[in-house]
Amino acid sequence: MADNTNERLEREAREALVAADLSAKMKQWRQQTPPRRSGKSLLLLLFLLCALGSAAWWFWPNTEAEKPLPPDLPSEQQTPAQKQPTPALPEQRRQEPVVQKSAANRYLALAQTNYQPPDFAADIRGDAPGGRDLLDDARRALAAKQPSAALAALQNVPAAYRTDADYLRGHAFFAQQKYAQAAAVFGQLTGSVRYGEAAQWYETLALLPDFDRKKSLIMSRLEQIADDDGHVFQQEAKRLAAQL
Amino acid sequence: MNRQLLWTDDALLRAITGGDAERDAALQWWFNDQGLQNWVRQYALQHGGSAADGEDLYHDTFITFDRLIRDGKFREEASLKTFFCSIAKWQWLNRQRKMGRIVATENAELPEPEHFTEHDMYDRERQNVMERMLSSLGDKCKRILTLFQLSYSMKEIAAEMGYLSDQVAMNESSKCRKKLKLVIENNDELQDFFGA
Repeated sequence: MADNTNERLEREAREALVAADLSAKMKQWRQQTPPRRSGKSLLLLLFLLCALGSAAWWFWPNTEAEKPLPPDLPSEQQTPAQKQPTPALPEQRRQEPVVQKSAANRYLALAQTNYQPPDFAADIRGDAPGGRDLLDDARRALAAKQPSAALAALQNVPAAYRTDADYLRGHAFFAQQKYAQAAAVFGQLTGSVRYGEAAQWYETLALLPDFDRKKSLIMSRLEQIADDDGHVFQQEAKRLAAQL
Repeated sequence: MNRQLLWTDDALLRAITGGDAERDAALQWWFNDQGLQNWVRQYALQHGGSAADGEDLYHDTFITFDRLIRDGKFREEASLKTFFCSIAKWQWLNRQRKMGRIVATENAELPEPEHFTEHDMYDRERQNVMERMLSSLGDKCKRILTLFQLSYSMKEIAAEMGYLSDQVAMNESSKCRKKLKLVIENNDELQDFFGA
């Protein structure tokens, strides 16, 4: 019970920050621009303009219609434009059949569209000692969309950097569309202090292509993330759950 | 800067829940509606309040309006303006009750029951208690937690805060959330106020 209360208080505290931020903005807005009139007068003006425009179009004299049609000219006197034969209508393109995506493709598409990789390049440390330069090599490869090269670099990362290596490995597998392997790797990281929440989210995405067999596991993971008020991927989880 | 000349209800909802500059533009546009401001001021005056009460009521209603939209409590059964005015009425009622004033209203004047509670209403006393507690967090954490509550993604938080990557944003967010937890657990005034 105490945990629930504290979670509620955390949420209220964050809302209080939003409220304070909004209060400060309201003070600025009051000083900046004068209040505007209600949109009703603007709408009325637009309506009047449209009405005037329509009336002008309707009542404008159409002198063209009253001109007699010119007689057909003999062919020698036809202008070049008139001489050109009317081009034949192009054949109508055959309509491509609508490809019905299978349910499996739909979940695969959801996994891919909801997957936003981290900015690997931004984490590159430059000249780093020991295994960290191998991690940087892997990050560069992932940033360049070369997951195979990333996996090769990660093979020799010392044990001390295993967690970082596993995290990058998970992303490499995901990029190679080896979703089962990606899910397995991310699944091992859900307890990590640094990568835990990200691993939960990416594991869930990696399980998606196998939705038919892993439905209850996926929905339970999503519910867990969506219900966790502090989770960094809470909003993403809520959106994905709504799509499933 | 307001980019749109005229915001529809749908566009306002999307912008307010969406974050970033569009949110600020939408809220500012809404805030500057003279018709709404006059309505709220008049409501306060007609129900025993002063001009200053009317200003406060508009302020408090605006904050509650923003929160309820982000919480998904606007059911689109009426317009946003109707929703806003309904919130103003409930804010006024709550305020008067807290001050111990008996609110004599005809049944016809009571706002329609909405899908929110008294707890959803902006409360100045509660806000003051919270702000005193939050003062120890520091500006950086306050900013990160504000963006977090507005559903900014880690990429967006990183961009706003000038971090190199969303991983850094994630780490900083995590630190700030832990700091907030500790501050809450150790704050007696908060625990007493909320009966925790």
